[in-house]
Amino acid sequence: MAGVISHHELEYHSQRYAVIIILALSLIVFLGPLILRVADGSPITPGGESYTLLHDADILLSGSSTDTVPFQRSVPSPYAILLAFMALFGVPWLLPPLLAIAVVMISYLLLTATYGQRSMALFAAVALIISPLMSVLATWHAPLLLCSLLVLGAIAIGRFAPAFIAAAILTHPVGGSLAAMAFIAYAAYRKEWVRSAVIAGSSTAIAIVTILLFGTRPFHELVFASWSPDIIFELGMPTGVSVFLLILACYGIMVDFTGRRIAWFSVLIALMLGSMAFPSLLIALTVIIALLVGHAVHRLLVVEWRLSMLQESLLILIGCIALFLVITTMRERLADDPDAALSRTLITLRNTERDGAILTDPQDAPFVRHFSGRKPALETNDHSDIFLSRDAVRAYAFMESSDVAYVVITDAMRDDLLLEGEDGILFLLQHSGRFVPIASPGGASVWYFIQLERDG
Amino acid sequence: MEETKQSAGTGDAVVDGRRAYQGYLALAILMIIIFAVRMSVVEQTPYLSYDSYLAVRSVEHIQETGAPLRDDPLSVTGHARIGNPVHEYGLALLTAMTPVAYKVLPNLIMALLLIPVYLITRRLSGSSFVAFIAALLTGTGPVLFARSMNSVSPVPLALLLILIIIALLHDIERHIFPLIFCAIALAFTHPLIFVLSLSLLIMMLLLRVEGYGVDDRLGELFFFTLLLSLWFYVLVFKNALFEFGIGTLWRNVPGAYLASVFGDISLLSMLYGLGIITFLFGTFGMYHALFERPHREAYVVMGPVFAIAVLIVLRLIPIDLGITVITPFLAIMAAYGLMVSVHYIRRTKAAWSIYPLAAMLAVFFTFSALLPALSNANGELARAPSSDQVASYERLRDLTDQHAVVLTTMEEAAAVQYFSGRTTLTDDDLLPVHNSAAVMRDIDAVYTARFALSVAGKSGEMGFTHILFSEDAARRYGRDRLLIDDAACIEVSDLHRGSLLYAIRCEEAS
Repeated sequence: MAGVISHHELEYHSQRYAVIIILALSLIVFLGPLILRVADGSPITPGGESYTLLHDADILLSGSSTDTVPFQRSVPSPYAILLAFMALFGVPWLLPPLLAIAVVMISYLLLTATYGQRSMALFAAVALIISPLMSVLATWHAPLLLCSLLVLGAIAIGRFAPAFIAAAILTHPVGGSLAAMAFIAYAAYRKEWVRSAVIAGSSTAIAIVTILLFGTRPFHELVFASWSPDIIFELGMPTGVSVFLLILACYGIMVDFTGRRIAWFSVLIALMLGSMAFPSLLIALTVIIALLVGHAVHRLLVVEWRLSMLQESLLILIGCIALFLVITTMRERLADDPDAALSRTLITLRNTERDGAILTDPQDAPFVRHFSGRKPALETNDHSDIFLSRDAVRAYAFMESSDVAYVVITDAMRDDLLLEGEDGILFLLQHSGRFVPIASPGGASVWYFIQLERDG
Repeated sequence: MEETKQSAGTGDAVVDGRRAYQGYLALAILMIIIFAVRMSVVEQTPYLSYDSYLAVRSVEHIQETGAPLRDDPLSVTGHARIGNPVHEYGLALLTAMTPVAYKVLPNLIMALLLIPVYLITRRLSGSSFVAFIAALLTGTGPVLFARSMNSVSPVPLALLLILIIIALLHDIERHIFPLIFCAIALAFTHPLIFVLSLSLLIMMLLLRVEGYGVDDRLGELFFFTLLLSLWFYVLVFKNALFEFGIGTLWRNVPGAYLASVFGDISLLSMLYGLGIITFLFGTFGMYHALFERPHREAYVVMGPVFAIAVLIVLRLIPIDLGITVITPFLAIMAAYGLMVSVHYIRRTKAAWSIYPLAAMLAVFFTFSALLPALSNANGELARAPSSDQVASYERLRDLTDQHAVVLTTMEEAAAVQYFSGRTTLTDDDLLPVHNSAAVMRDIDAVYTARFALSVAGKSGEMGFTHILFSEDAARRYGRDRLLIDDAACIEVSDLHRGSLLYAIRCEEAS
C-alpha cells in the first residue's frame, strides 16, 4: 500500500536533498533568533549561563590568572577554552550554532547508518532541529551541547569511546557521567566486559579529576536538587520537550516497533522520569523523541491510511505544528535576557569612575559581571529580601558591607521582586537621601549609593 | 410452509415498524416536554446567569467590530482576555437574528441530546422501549437537566457532538464524512474534544482486551482529532500555558479556592447529580457488559464513562461538568442494566413481581431524579441576577463616573460590567490574572475587613475606587454590610433594596 509518496521515491529525494535541507533549516532556526536579537538591539547571545562562560573565556583571553571579578570557578571548563578560541576570531556567539549543527549532522549520519533509511533520518534530524531544547542549546552557551557532541562521537567511533566519554565528563560532569553509565550498561548487556571495565575505570578517574579541578559544585546537581516535574515545553518549560513531538513519538512506537513497543515505551518513560531529576537527560530524551518522530512521519508518508483524507490533513497539521514550534521558540529566544535596556545600562556603568559592586536582581549577576566588569552584590536569592526591606539601617549595613556603588532597578524587578507602589527599597531610593539618581541610556533606573566611610 | 414463514416475517416487520414509529413518537413527545419544561423555568427570569455576561459582551463586541473581546476595558485584572472565540462567533450570528437565541439555543440542544442517546441505546439493546428509558433518564438527570439552562455555554453543543460521534461509530465506513465533520466541529467548540480522544483510546483498549478487532479508522480518527485539538488549544491558550503551566487546566484558580470552583467529589454528590437509578443500574449494566456478557456496542459507550470518571477523579474537569457529560452514557448503560435485570427476573419464579417493581421504580425515579432536577433548575435560576440586583447595578452607573473601578464579588462582576458599564477590579475569568491567589485573597480581605484603614490601603494597592456590597456579597460573606469602623473618608450610598456602594475617598481626605 503506497501512502502519499512511495518509500523508494522518498529515499531518492532524501539522498539528494537531505543534507541541504538539514543545513538550511539549521541555519534558519539556529541563527534566526540571533539575527532577530541583533535587529532588536539586544546582545546577540541570550542566557545567564552564557555570560558566566563568556566571563571565563574573557579571563582566559586576558591571560590573567586572577579573576578581577571573583567568581566561584577557579579552573575554566573545556567549553570556556573553546569559547575563548572562538573569541579570538571575534565570533564567540557562533560556537553554539556550530555545535548544534554538528550534533544534528552526526545524529543524521548515525541514524542513516543504523536504520539504512535516509528519509527517516532526515525527519528525525528535522524534529531535532525544531525541538525547543535545541533552540536553547543552539543559541545559549551551554557545555551540555559539547558534551552531547562528544557522546555522539563515542557512539560513532566506538574504539575511542572511553576517551570521548572522559572528555564528556570533563565538559559536563553530570551529563558525561550519565552517558558513561549508559555506555557501561550497554557494554555489559552486550557482554563486552573489557570494554565495560575500560569505560568504567576511565570515567571514574576523570570524575575524580573533575571533582578535584572544579570542586564539588557541579555534583550538587546529582543529589536531586534540581528535581522538577515540569518537562513539557507547552506548559512553560523553555528547555522541555514539546507535547506534539511526544505524541508523534508515541505514534512512531505504535506503528513502527511492533513487538518492541513495551521496551520503547519503557525507555521513553524512564528518560522522562530521569529528566525530572537530572535536566541534563533532557537532551537524550529529545534525541530519542526525534528518532521516534522520524519513524512516525516516515510511516505517515509511505503507508496509506484507510482514511486517506485525514492522512493528508494530518501531514499539513504536522507542518503547522513544526511552524508553530519554530516561531514560538524564536520568540522565546528574542525575549530571553539580557535585553537591550539592561545591557546598555550596565555598559555605561563600566566606564564610571567610582569602584564598587552593583546591587540588582541576582538573576542578572552574570550580565553585571560581563557588561559592567563589576561585582554583583547579590549572586543568589539568599539576601534578595533586602529589596523588600523597610529597615533602612539593615539595608545600609548590607550595602556598605557588600561595597555597593550602584543600584540598578529593571522593569522585570518591579514585576517580580519589588513591592507594588513605592515601598521597600524603592522608598529608600527616593526618600532617604543616600541615593543619587543617575541618567541611564537604557530603560533601567540607576542610583548611586553614597557610602558614608568612602564618600564621606 | 415457506409461505407461512414469509407471511410471519412480513408480520414481524410490520410490528417492528410500528414499534419503531411508536418509539420515535414517544421520543419526540419526551423531547418536547423536556424543552417546554426547561423553557418554562428559564422564562421566570429575563436575565442570564452571572457568568454568561462575559460571553454576551464578547458576542456583542463581535457584532459591532467583527472581532472577539480581547482587550477588555471593563476589567482591571482581565483586560487581556484569552479564550476560544469560535462558539461566540456562532452565537453572534444566531443572536443577530433574535436575542431569544441566548435562552432557546442551549435548551433546544439539550433536548436534542435525546436523539443520539435513543439511537445508541436502540442499537445496544434492540428495543425501542429501553431506548426511550435511556432518553428519559438522560433528559431528567438532575445535574444535566439544570446545566446550561440559563447560561451561554458551548457545553450543550459539545456534548451533542460527542454523542453524535459515538452514535456514528458503529459504521465508520458509511458515516465517515459526518464523523470527520463532527470531530473537527467539536475540536473548535470546546476542550471536551480531549474527553472524546481519551474515550476513543479507552474504547480501543477495551475492544482489544476483549479480543474484538479494532478498526484502523478508529485509531486514525483518534490520532487526528487529538493532534488537531491539541494544536488548536495550545495556540488559543499559549500565553496562559506559558505563564501558568499546568495551572491553566484549572483555569488559574488558586489551590485554596479550587474546591469551591471545581467542586468536591463524593459518592453522595455523584448519586445526587446522576440520579440514583442511573448510577446504580448504569454501574450494573457496565459490570454485566464487562464481566458477564461481553458486548461490543457497550464498550463504545463505556469508553466515555471511564474517560470522564478518570478526569473527575483527577479533578481535571469541574465535577458538575463531568457529571453532565457522563450522564447520557451512564443513562444508556442504566437502561441496558434495567433490561438485563428484567430479563433475569422473567426467568425466575418472581416474574410476577416485574410490574409492582416497575411501579416502585417509577415512584423512586420521581423522588430521586425528577424532584432533584427541578430543584437544581431553581438553583440555576438563583445564579442569575434578580431584578433588584440589576436595578442596583444601573443605579451604580448613575452614582459613579466612567473612571470608577468597582470591587465586586468575582461571581457577579461580569453582570456588573454588563449592566453598569463600569470597570470592575476582577471577574471570574482568571486566565489573564497574573497573581490570582493574591487577588482572591485581597477581595476576601476587603469584604471581611474591620478597619477602614486596611480597606483604604487595599484600595491604594489594588486600584479600586468603590466597593459594591450586594445580595451576592451578603450571601457569600454572611453579613448585610461591610463591618468597617465608621470612617469619614468612606462614603456609603444605598443603591437599591439593601445593596450598598462604598466610595473610597481616603486619598482625597488626606
